[in-house]
Amino acid sequence: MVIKRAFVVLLVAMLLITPVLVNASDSASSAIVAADRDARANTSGGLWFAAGCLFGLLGVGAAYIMEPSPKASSLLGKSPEYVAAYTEEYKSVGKSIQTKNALTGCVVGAVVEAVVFTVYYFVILAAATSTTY
Amino acid sequence: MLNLSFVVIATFTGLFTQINVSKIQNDTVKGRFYMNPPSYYLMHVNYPVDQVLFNRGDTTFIYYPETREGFKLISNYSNSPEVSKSLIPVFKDEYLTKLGMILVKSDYKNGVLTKYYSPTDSKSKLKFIKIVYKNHLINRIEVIDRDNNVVKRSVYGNYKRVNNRNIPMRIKNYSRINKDSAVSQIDYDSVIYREKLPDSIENYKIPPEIKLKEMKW
Repeated sequence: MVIKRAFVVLLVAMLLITPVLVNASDSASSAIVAADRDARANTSGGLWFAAGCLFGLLGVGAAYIMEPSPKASSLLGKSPEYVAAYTEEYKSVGKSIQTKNALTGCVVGAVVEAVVFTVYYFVILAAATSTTY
Repeated sequence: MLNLSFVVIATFTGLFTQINVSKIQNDTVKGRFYMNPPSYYLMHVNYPVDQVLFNRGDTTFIYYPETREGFKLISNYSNSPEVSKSLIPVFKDEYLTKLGMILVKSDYKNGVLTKYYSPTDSKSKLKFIKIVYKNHLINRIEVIDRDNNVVKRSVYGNYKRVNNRNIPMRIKNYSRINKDSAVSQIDYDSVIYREKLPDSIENYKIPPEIKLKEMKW
């Protein structure tokens, strides 16, 4: 009898809690989808590529440290769970785009620099060997 | 993307209803706004959640009085919601110049004035900001990219005179994000001009015992 009653209490508690959990998870999942979309649209990959290209590892470091910020309008009227999930996801996706592009820019910058120096070296070498007195 | 703010010397309060429609979500947000543009805004949302959203400089605060929790979002630029920044389209050429835009063309036909502004930065993704005036009031603002796509369009309507100013009571924003489009419609009601915002709003304080989740970027 006691076990049966405990089982019924447990069942009722589960039924009451489930909708809350489903709503919270719905809110968080739609926040993640929206944050992912917005971060991709708002983060300038080209800018961070240029930063990596021009400033090398400093650009990559800046891309890692400077966190992209979401728009306040995306958070208007949203629940605390949504705001927490949205801001975390936005930060993570935005930072990943920034760092990836800055790193690509850094590598491209280094390769271009190496090519320029190699060409410069061979030009000087050719000029030195072809000098006639 | 360029942040289009407006230059106004007045404070306003009123009610707003914002309806957002996109592929991901459809929702309605209702509440009251207080604004002292461009420096201060406070939104008290009463539907679908009880939420207060306001700024102190570049920091956005979000507070939930019912659940007594909140966020402090520290940014390095001014970040106001669409509801506050779209309301009063009083554009000034010199303000756009400060944003790196210059007037490149203007047409006048059948009572419709169209102005085109272009960025001074040639690497910008933006080609034009097109502003269409009808009867001396802003009817439409379009943001056009280098491929001639309209990436954002705001349509202003239902103008009302409030304290000798023409204020649009309905603004429809269309935006295109990665081939998806999103529409938001903002309706304003009971808009009143105030000499100054009430002190409780201008210096709104979240109770000190509330621990805010801080995010810095």
